[in-house]
Order: sequence, then structure tokens, then C-alpha cells
Amino acid sequence: MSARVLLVGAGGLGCPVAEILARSGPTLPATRLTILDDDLVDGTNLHRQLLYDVADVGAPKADTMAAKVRWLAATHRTPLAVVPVAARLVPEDALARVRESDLVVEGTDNLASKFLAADAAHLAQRPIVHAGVVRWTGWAKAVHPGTSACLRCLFEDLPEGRVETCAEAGVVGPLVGVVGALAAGLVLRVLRGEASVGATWTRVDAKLGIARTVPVRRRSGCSLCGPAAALAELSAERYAPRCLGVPLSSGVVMSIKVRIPTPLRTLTQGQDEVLGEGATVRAVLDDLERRHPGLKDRICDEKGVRRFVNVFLNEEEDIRFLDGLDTALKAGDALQIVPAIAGGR
Amino acid sequence: MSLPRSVRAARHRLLPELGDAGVERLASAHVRLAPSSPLAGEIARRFLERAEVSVDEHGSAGPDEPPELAYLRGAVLALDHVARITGVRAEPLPRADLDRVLGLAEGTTERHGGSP
Repeated sequence: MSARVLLVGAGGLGCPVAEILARSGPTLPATRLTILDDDLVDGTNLHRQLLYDVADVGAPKADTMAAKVRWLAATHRTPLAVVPVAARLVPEDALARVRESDLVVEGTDNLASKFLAADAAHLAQRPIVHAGVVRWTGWAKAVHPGTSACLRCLFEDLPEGRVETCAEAGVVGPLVGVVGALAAGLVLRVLRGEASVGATWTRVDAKLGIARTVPVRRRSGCSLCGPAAALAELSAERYAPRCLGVPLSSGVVMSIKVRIPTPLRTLTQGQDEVLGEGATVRAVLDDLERRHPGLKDRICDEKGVRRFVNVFLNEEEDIRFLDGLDTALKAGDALQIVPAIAGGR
Repeated sequence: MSLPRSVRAARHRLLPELGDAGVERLASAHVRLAPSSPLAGEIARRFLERAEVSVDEHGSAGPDEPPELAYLRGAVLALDHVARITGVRAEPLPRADLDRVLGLAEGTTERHGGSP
């Protein structure tokens, strides 16, 4: 029977993990790798996400990664089956997804998803490998449920307020490869049955030139794995509000499809549709600005949406007749940017 | 299809230690790699070329390594070059400490707190 590995996040950390598994050759235990990610390849990803090329920009990450990993696995005769899933890990189905796996690998870019994956893995009693990286620092840790320190032993809970991601704070490209390779090494050790792999925590500070692997112990007051643990179920409220700074109707982070008109596609690398994250139109536009610098300025001025631009919600409603930039969004919503068209000859 | 540097280097430009000047320095830099294995060289070259660093053809100094170790060493090699070119750091990252995480080499450890 194949080992079932769930890779949450097909970004900078997911790329090394998937590539290393695919290059492991016939000695890798038969493995089914499920790649969970609902994002599209973006031009700003390419400096660190080596499995994607310019030609992949705009394509779904899960499908694109799956195709490349399958090719690598075939080349190296690695017994690796790959299943792409274009979705996010959300509280509503996290436990079910984790229960369908034997090992979770979490390389997401936000703390809410990290805690959600950690909680689901513990509740399902599955090992998990975490990794995180931003700016010049990164870390990786494996967790065996019930025997090694979990994410909440290290960090307790989501911080108040918004936490910077790579999209906001930047990240040095090769460091993502370093941390991803460390995570992949932990994955392989878990697959080989090394129970001691969860006993340490590795941190890298690439600016100071420091790499440390330190022993960590379980925390007696841990809300997830301590003797008086209170966390017994996954509710959306636990993950969304504090991480994003705004309430969400469901899920951890909502991806909203935004239709881009032709004149603005020079700012989206030619893409006619992009994804932005947020619970309001304003948050989505702010997120798009980080992904596609200059875009928001073409849509908004200091007063709100520019007079010659319309923003429609679900092809029907002009947001001026709703709550403007503060219009709340829910999962499945889509925005259309419609500039005034002049001329005609 | 090509992408403007402002897009490709967007995450590097956000780093105060790099900014536009650091991105330009990377784009005008030229390095010769001395990798530990063929795959380590490939990984280092891919990361550096994504940062627009020009990379000389290289020969491998060693035999094949397990992919997790080769990938790690290649990424570390690229990271050290980026840090050096941009003036962030001159000394390389301690390889042994990182290799140890993979269970393939011995290194040093330190104690970390946390109540029992």
C-alpha cells in the first residue's frame, strides 16, 4: 500500500519538497502525493519556485506542479503517484483531507493555514512537517502526534493583527530552497519511520549566517497536545479573524477571481484573470497591488474607485451601489474591473 | 513571453537589504560554481539564474548525493552567492548544521527552552 502524503501549498516550499520526492528514485517507498493549492502561477513566484517557468504564468499551480513532478518521477524511476487538487485547506474539510493521508507537509504562506494544518494533523493523529520562510529567515519542524512538540507548543496561537507574508515583506529566493530541502529531508525521515525526527526544530537566519537545530520539548500547557488540551474541533472563527485582521464568512483565506481588462494586463503579465485574497473589495485590491505593483493605482484614487472605472461584483452589481471598497465578499465571488472605453472609429 | 524585472524580482526588491540596487547588482554579477555534486550545481544555477546572476559552466567536484542533500547544498551555495554579491554577508552558512537535519551529517546543537 502506498504512503499517502498531503502537500498543503505548491509554492516556494512545496516546490523543493515535490521535486526531491520525485528525484528520490526506486528506493522511495511507494507514495501517493496529493498537491493541494488553489493558486495560479504568478510572475513574482518565479525567483524562488523553480518548478514553474514563464510559460506557466497564469496556470493552476497544482496541475502544473503535478505534470512536472510526474515527469521527474518517471525520469528517476521513482514510485510516486501525483494527484493535484485545486483547493485550499479550510476548516470545513481539513480534518477529512488530513485523515485521508498518512503524512501532511505544510508549506503555506500564512499562519492561519499553518495552525489549521497543525490542529487537523493532531486531531487526526497524523505526523506533519511544517516549514516557513520570510525575508532572510526560515524554519522547519516535523511533528509526531503525541510524542513531539507541536506548532502550538512553539508558538501557542495566532498573533493578534496581521502577520507579514513573503508577498509583503519579501524573501530571498534561494533561502526558500534551503528551507524546502530541509522540510523534504524531514519528510523522507518520517516516511522511513524515524520517530526521533520530531524532537528538534531547525532555524536558519541567512542574513546572520546562522543555522541551528535545537531540541524542543512538548509544552505542558499546550492547548493542542497538552494534558489539558482544549482544542478539540476546527472552527473557522479560530483561524480567520486574527490572522487576516478582518472577519471572514468562511474558510481561512478567500481567493477572489478578478477579471482584468485589456489595458491593465500589462500589469498582470498578460493574464486576463487573477486571484486576490481578502474579505472585502479593498483587501482584495490591496493584495492584488502586492502581486501586481501599480494595479490598484489604475483602479483607485484617494477617494475610492476612480470615476472612469467600474468594479462589478459577480457581473451584476456596481460596488458603488453596495458598500464601495468595503463591500464584503464571500467564497465564490468574482470581481470584474471595467474601465470606461473611449473612441469607436 | 518575457516578464519585466520589476515583476520577476518583486520579492527581492521588497527586502531592504536588496532593493532595486541589490537587484541590479545581482543582474550584473558573474559567478563560477564549485558544487558538491551535479544536482547541487544544477539547483544552484537555477536559483542564481532566477536572480539574473550569470553562472559559468561548472564541473562537479564530487559524486552524486541523495537529492535532499544535493538540493540543500545547491540552494545554500546560491544563497551564499546572493548574500555575498549584495553585501549582506560574506561568510558561508554552516553546512554541517544544515546537513545534520537530514540525518546525513553530524553537527552542533544547542538547548532550547520550553517548560516540561
